[in-house]
Amino acid sequence: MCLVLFRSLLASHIALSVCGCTSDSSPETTRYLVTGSSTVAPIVQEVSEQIEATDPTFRIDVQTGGSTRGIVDTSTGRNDAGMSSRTLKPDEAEGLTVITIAYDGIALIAHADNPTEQLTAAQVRGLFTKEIRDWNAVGPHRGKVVVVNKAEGRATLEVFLEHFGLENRRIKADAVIGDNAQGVRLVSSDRNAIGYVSIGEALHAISRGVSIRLLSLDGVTPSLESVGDGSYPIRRSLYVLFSKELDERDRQLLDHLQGPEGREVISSLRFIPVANAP
Amino acid sequence: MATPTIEYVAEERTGESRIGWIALGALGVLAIAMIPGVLIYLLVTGSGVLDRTHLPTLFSTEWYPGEEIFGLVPLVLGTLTTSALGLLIAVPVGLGSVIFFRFYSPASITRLGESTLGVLSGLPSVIFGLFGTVWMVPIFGPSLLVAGVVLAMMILPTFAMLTLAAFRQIPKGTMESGAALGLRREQMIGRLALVVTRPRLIAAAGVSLTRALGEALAVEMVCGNVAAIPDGITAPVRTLTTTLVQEFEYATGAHREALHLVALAVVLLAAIGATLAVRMASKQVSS
Repeated sequence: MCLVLFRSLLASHIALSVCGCTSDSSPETTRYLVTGSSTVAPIVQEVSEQIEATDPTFRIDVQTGGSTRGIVDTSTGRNDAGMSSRTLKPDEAEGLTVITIAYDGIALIAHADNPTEQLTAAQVRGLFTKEIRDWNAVGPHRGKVVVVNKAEGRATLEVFLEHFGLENRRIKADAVIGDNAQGVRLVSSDRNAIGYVSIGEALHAISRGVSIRLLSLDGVTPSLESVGDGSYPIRRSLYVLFSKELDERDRQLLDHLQGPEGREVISSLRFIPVANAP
Repeated sequence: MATPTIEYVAEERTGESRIGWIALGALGVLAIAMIPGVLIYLLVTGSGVLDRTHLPTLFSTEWYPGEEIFGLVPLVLGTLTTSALGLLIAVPVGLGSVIFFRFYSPASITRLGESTLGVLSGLPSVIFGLFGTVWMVPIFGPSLLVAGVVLAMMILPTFAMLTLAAFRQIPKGTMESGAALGLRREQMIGRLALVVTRPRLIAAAGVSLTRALGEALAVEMVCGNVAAIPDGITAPVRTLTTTLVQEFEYATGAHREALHLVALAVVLLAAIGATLAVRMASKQVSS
């Protein structure tokens, strides 16, 4: 809150000093709050900075707190726009304007030294529930499977459970992680680990030389292309949410997110912009 | 309730110190009121899960917020086991090193040791978490063991500094009369120094334990965060505080309320730990 206050003070101060005596003719500064998914937040944050650079009267604050927070905040009017990285339930979506801005895939990852290349959905289910206890049941690697699961409340967990038709209590986790980076680090430190993270995060880690590998699922290699063309099976949409009819500021943000600059931001963060996908 | 007492005391003072008394008294009351204030806030905010459907789940061994099952047992157990392990390592190691610095090492080494402990006790806990992540997790996996060792590293400097201070305050005459009686160095340490300082050593252990109970960030990096009863020292555990770190920001509804009770449990455990330490320490003094 302090930051918000400080920024608005700063903004009005700059506006005053720039406009001087003609300050009465300057357009009013809008403070705009976006809350929700930490996966979507970097996109909106970067786009917001671009908007603020060209339009100093538009002040956008981006706060993370998970998809559910974003949805609840939007329907109760505690923000101007929400962010979600999971599909809204019918009762949640009621009265909201839900717009898909990008796609993200969730990839299964293992240690780089693990020669296993691909898994079927049934094998994934077996590994995470420890019905399959050793890697040699699914490939050339030997070793007791170490399961890395996501913490409760994270959209990635919900998408994963839903895709494989699992309940969280059936997963026999050896470690529970908060953010994607923690999952990548854990899997890279254990030759027998299996986990799942956002494809973008995994590709980014591999490009930095982190010792993990992506596992193909049901014969499809996870990549930005296979997520984009819809062939990779675990794809989720990234949404922005508005509470009502879009006003001028909502439009301004949305147009920028969906425009060429927004799409470039989305690609640079290793997500797939909607316009490029079927 | 407390204000009349302050007024009464203040009346015995001269006029000019009266305002000072009231101001200081108010600060004192504020300090005391903070504890019940925090407890009441947490209890009220978390009271939504104290109803008939959720209350019984608090005592279960399962933590599945998605199913609205909020078993605190594995979390409390995780907090207690990691802290106990940390204390179990930190106390003997800390005591040994301080005895060495105080009674055996040459003055230059003692100075070096004391200033090192000072620096270590000021390190943010996340540094120890990083150490555990990089050097221990790849070998042992995220586990009770690594969490305990990380906590031990974190609380050892605090415990050692307090122990050192206790040893420094031994009256000079005590040790001199010991020497005059012809006690050997081991006897001077075992029968004099450790006996005289025992209440303060217990208090030092209590302070260290309280720090360990409340640590969140460093533990979250290395404990594995699996909410289950650990079946061995290399099994993953989840503590009360790591649950808050991982879930609070993402929790809504009953889950969020349950997390307030988790926070309440941390405060209560720390309070119990501190009270026990003070009790034991004062008992030692009177006996």
